[in-house]
Amino acid sequence: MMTQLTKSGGKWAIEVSCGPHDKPLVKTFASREVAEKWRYDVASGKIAAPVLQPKRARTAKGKYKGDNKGTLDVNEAYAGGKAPVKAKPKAKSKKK
Amino acid sequence: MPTHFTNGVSNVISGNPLYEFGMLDPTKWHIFWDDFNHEPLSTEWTITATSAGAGTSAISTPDEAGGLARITTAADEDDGIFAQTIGEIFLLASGKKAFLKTRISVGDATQSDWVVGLHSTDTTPQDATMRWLFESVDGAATVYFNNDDNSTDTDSETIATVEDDTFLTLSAYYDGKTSILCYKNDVLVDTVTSITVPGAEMAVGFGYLNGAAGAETTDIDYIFVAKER
Repeated sequence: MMTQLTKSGGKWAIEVSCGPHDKPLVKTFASREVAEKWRYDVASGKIAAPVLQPKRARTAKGKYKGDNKGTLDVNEAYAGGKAPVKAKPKAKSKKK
Repeated sequence: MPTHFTNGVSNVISGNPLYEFGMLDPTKWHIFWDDFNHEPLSTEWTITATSAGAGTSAISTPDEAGGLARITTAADEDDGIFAQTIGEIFLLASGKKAFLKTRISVGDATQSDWVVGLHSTDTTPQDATMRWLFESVDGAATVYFNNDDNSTDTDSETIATVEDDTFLTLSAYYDGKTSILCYKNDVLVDTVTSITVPGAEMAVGFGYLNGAAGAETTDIDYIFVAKER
């Protein structure tokens, strides 16, 4: 994982990136101290590392690729061949 | 002409499963070796970059013979990069010899903070809980070896006075007892005695931060770490 701390105007931002198939994530902070503390807490495991979503795959012309339903193990719509894991819907509580 | 051992060489005793293996037993040592033939990837290293000033702090592997990791910094003080292996993969121990060797050229020898060696996982390795590394701090062109076991923080004498953009080789050898021998360009400079090596796992790490405004370039040619199993 790579974290890049930058300053833009009066705000501080950390871009989190990992493999070439993941979409970078940017978090903004009010001060450098808060940004560095967040980065430290992630690195030390005090807070969970952000989960990066996979990038969509594109054709040579820049259009999104679609999934080939003939290949069950690979989702061609995503650069790494894997779709993001969808969160399970919350189970409805049964009324008594 | 070299001596040719056409049947191979061995360092194991009779009965060992590798007895007939025609090479030295590679499992006797845990070895980390990076000649930086490709750039340190964020899938293999935790990379902590700061780019508050103009430009972007980054690591690359340029077209240079031998391969090297080139850190380029953005232009503010404290801009730069630290990289550490994702796992804390070395546990030093009494009774087990260990080695560290690196070759480095820094952009600004005086106005910089930089480290190379082993440390606990931390975004600021200079403050890591445990350290076993070469370090140079802002305001001094000198480099020393630092052994911190989270109880006693011990620095060697100055191992080298660093010059801008000039490669030097730094090496340390832990004898498995209480001494660390420190070398500059393969010549013994200082022996640190009465130390206790850190007692927890550490990551391999390196990095460079500006000590003053202005973009800089630092090259790490290689990092070698080895420990007896």
